[in-house]
Amino acid sequence: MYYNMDIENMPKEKQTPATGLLSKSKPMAAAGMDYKNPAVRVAKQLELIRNRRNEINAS
Amino acid sequence: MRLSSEPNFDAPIPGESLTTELGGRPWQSPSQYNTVDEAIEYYMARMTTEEFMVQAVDVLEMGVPVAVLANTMQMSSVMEGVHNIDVGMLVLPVLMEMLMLLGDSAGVKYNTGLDSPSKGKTRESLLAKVANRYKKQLEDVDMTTAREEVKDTEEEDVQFTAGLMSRRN
Repeated sequence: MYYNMDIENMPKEKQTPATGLLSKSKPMAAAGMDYKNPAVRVAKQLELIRNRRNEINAS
Repeated sequence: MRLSSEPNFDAPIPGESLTTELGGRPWQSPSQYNTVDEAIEYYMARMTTEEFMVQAVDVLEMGVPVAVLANTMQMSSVMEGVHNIDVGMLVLPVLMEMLMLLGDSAGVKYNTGLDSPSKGKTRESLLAKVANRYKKQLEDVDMTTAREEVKDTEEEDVQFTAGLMSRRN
């Protein structure tokens, strides 16, 4: 399960420029990720912790 | 797996799981957290306490693999009815990563438990096979002709060293 989480090759989310408070919010699936999929949600959490780990190991 | 030669009388008898009332066990009733997000939140709240961190670092330092520790954590939560086994399996990588983060931040050298112990090692069966084949080859070789061949090559070597630039003996 741990090895199957290929978080390095996950599609990256595009940073959309802020266009004001009243702009239409994009659905999360539009970013190329199916956030309804629990595995994707887990992968995002995993990515955050991995990044923090990499920071610790780099310093 | 090592098989014990002695009988184990502590093992449950067949059908023992059916002797309690249905729903009497925590894992037979609806789980407390049904989604991955809820389960992760539950674990994060527990794993970021100082008490847990100190204990986890001690356990990692003792050499317990991260994978085993994470699996034990999720399995005990399943048994307590916190979440079901499916959510537990999905949460497992996050638990492992979190334990590794704790280990890294504490500067502990831990065992991930992900590497196979036989990785990079030659299989013993393969070694035995090669040894057996080599033994057979040795048996087939006629030693008298082999010795003559060795002699011939030695003579060739002597002739070869007698080149223009070779030292005189």
